[in-house]
Amino acid sequence: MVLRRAFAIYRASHRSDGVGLLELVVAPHGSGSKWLAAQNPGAFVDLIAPLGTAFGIPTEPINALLVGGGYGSAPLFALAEVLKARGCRVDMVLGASVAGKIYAPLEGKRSVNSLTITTEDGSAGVTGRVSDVLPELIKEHETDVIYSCGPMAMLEAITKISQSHEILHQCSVEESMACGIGVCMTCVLPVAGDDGIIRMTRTCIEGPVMDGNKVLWSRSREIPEGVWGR
Amino acid sequence: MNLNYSTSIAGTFFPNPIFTASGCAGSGKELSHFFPLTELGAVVTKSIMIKPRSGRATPRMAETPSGMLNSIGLQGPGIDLFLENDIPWLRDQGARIIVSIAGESVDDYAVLSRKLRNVPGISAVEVNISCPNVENRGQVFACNPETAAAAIAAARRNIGGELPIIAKLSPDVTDIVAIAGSVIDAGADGLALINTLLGMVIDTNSMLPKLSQKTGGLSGPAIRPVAVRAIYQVRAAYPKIPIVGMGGVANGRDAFELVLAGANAISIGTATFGDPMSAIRIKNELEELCTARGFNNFSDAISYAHRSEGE
Repeated sequence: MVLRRAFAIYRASHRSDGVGLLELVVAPHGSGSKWLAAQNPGAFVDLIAPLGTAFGIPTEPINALLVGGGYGSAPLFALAEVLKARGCRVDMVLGASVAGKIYAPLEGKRSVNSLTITTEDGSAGVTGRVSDVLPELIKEHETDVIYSCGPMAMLEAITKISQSHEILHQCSVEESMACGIGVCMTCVLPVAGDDGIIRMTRTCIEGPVMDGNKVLWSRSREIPEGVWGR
Repeated sequence: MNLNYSTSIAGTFFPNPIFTASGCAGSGKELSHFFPLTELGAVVTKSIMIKPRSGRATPRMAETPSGMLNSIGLQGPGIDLFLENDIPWLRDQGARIIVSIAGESVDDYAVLSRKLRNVPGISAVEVNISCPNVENRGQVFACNPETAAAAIAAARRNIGGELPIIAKLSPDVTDIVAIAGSVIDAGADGLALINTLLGMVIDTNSMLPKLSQKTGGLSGPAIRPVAVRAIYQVRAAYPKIPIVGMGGVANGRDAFELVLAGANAISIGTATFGDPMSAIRIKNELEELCTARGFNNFSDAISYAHRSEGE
C-alpha cells in the first residue's frame, strides 16, 4: 500500500487524566482497514488529523435528524451527544442491507430521542431503506436539519428529500482519496460554491461534511453539465 | 555534514536537488502547512492549461501493487487565474518556482509560453507534452518525435531566451532516447523523466474498469525501474543535458539511484500522497547517503553509475 487511508473520527475527548483521546471505528474490509485492525494494542500509528470540515453545530436548540448508513453511522453518535448538550431534539435513523451491518453502540442509543432502524432484507426494524422512512419522521419530529453519513447513493436519496422539504442537509461524503490533504485531486465532487459556480471540489479538505443541497449528485461517469471548465 | 548539496538545471541554481513532481503538490499551498516551501529545491506546479478545466469524472484513482493509477484530467483554474493567484502567493513564500504547462495543440504551448515569458520569479518552465493533441487524432505529443519537437519548439520560440525549458517525456514510447534527441534539437534546455505509464484496473466485483476514463497513469514505486532505465539511457546518449528525475521515489536510497543513473534533481510525486513530509525526509536521507558514499559535492554523484567498473 502506498497510500494513506481516510477515516471519519468517531469521537474526540479527554480521558480523566487529561490525555487526548481520538476514537475511530474501522470495519476491516479493505487492505488498509485490515492492516489497521491487525495492529497490536499500544502500537504507534502515523496520523494526520483533523483534516477537512466537521458537522456544523447550531447555536440554538433545533430538531435534528441523524441518518447513518451501515458503518457510516459511527461519527453520528458523538454528534448526537453534542447536539443533545445544546438542547436539540435528536432523532436517528440507521439503515443497512442486513441487521449485522447496523452499527449502534449501546451508549450511543442513550443520546437520542428516538431510533429507527431499516434493513433491506427486513432482518431488523423496518423493511426498506432510510429514504422510505424519512418523510414521515421529518413531519413527525418537525425536523430542521438532517445530518447524514453513509454511502453516496444514500446521501443522494436523502438530498432529494431534504430539498423537497426545504430543510438543511449536512452530509459527510465518501470519495476515494489518495492524499487526504488536498493535493491529489482524486476525491472531487461537483459542488455549487457561494458564488453559484459549480466546481469539482475536493472532499478531503473542503469536505467531507458538505451542504448536501449544493452537491450535484451524479453517478454517471461523466462531468455533469454546468460544471466550471467542463 | 559538509556536502555541497546544490544543483543546477540549465544554468539555474537550486540549493538542493529535491523538487515536487507536477500534479502531486498543487501550487504548494497545502504542503506549506507541513513545511516551509523554501526547504525544497523547487516547487513544480500542477500542469496549467489555457482555460479552466473541470478534469475527469470520478473515480479518478485506483491503488495498485506498489503504486496507483490516476486520471485527473488536468483539473485547474487556467493560466490567467493561476498567474493572478498562485504565482504571487508562491513568490511571497520565497519558493523557487518551476511552472508546468500543458496544451491540446501546438498553438496552446505558444500561447502559454507568451503568458509566462515576462512573469518574474519563475526559475524554469516544465513543458508537459503527455497530453492528447486534438489536431492529431488525440495522439499524445510525447509519443512521436515530430509532435514532441513541435510542442517544444513552439514553447521555445515564444518564451524568450532567458527561461529554461524542461521537456517532460512519457516512458510509453519505443525509443525514449529518440524523443529526447528531438526535443533537445527543438530547444529544450532540460528533460523531466519520467511521466506516468498508462495502465488499467478492472474491478472484479462490478466487472467494469475502475476508473471513469478506463485508463490512468501509473505512478509509485512500481515504475521506479522504468525511470532508472529511461534516465540511464538518455544520460548515456546526452552526457550534458540536465535531467529532473522522477518515478516512484519513496526514500533517499531511491533518489540516489536516479541520481546515479543521471538525474541532476529529483521530483517527489506519489510518495507525498502517502506522507506529506516525504520530500523533506527524502532530502535529508539523500544528503546523508551522498555523504556516506564519500561525495563532497552532490554534483559528483550525478551519473556516477555510468563509469566503468573499477573506476
